Amino acid sequence: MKITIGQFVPGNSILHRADPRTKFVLTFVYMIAVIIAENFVAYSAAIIFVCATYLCAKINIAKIIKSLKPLLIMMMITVVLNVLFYKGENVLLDFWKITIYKEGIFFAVKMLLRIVLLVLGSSVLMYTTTSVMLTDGIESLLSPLKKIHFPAHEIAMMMSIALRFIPTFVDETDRIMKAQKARGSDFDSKNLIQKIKSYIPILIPLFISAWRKAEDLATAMNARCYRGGEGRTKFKVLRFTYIDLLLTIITIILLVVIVLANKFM
Amino acid sequence: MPLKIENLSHTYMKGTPFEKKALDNINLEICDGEFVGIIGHTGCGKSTLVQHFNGLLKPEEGNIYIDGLLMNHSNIKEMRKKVGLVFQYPEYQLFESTVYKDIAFGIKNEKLSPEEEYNRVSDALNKTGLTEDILDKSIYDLSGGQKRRVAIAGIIVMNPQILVLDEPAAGLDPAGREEILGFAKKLRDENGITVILVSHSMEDIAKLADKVIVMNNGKIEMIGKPKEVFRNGKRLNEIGLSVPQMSSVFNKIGEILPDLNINTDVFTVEEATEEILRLLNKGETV
Repeated sequence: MKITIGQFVPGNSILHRADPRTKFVLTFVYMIAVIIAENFVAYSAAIIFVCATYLCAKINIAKIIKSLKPLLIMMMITVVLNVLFYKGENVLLDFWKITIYKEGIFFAVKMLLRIVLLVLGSSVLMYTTTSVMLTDGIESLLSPLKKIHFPAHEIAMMMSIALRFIPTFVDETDRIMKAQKARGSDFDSKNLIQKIKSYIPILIPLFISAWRKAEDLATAMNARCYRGGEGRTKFKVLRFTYIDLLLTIITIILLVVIVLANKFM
Repeated sequence: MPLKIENLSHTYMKGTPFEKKALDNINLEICDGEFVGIIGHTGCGKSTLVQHFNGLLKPEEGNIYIDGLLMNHSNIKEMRKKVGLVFQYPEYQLFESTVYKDIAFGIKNEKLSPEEEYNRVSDALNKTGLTEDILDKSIYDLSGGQKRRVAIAGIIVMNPQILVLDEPAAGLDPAGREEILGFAKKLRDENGITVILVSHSMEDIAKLADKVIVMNNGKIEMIGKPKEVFRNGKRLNEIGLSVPQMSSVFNKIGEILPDLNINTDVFTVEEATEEILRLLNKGETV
């Protein structure tokens, strides 16, 4: 099965069952840990941690790494730029106007690892959390801001609607594209301007359809007496359980290991 | 321009847990100037099949011949002009600012002179039963039925030899229905265009089609003249379809009054009227 970045993968692991708020906060902690990691011992700790999470969530990490392909160009550019422009002490290669330093190569590898680790780690959150749970978590995390009239519920509702309609619009785009192809539209043109122009017949009907769907949805929500978040109860109440405690402890251990590794290695 | 399909199969989401065989070894031939009806329950592969007719979906297995030519990657654009495909709810694909521009979209690449282009557009518009006075109107000033006909005109303008209509009457009022189906029949009768009509209305199929293709779970269940197909009412019911209402009425009467010697081969209102009059006349003469 082709898994794309950020798609929910059904399962019943402890990562799937954990509170989305915990996962949010811990993902954030993990990202900080990866960013502050300086040496390879610290990086190996993070790598072990990511592999362990994927094992635990029963998601095939090899397939996930394959789905990183779209990021390949970005990674290549990062590596090339770092190798070429990093100024260090130990010259490895001096050639015409290009000098490559040993430190440059180390640094490039670190950057590469950092990108991969950040993407892999943060996508665990998306793989193990349904969009409903995700937005519930965001709403709950943002709710302290309601005191200063921050529209936490509204933002969470907008997010879940946006996520809900992605597949619908993918289908719709496919349909409109086929319909315009049947009228002689050419999307395979090599010429860039032609190519951009050929997408207008898709964008306009898609936009109109989105508009219509939004109106329909608003009417449907009104018809079911939706009136915002005030006093609204939840079908799935979020609870902090021993699973969350366990995950928190493990993540904190990772953070501590990385800080110690930075200091003493 | 005959259309021939050989051993066509198509699977959606191949190699995933969501794999679904949409078409399974389809063989069929459609002759010049035929009016073909395709019926089948929702999700039986009708739409998948018709999308193969003009190469929007490429055959996974099997071959498609149009005019004796095998459809392949190099001639697919030519084929697409020969086979016009009108999707369900085609009015949602309109996008230009005026009716004229939208209809002319399909012939933009042909580099016609303005007069020629105008003639083609107004000709296509007339064929769908609309008049030139709406050409300068905005798409969004039209009624639902008008929009749909403009969308169909946008396909007809390319002069297809085969026109595929996927549920062209869905969601229209009875008058709009009659008009759309009427012009489809006219296109066939007057211009000799082969028309392939996908529909859920057995009445429409019985009235219009020369040949009916019944699909079930990606396979062709039956193929034949409407009379031959609708005689198998039992089997049609089993696969989630039905016979035209007139046919049910006459079958029931035949069951209740077997002595009446009623002709149960009745599928349209016209045939029913004739049969009733025949029986009444018989009564009078007796």
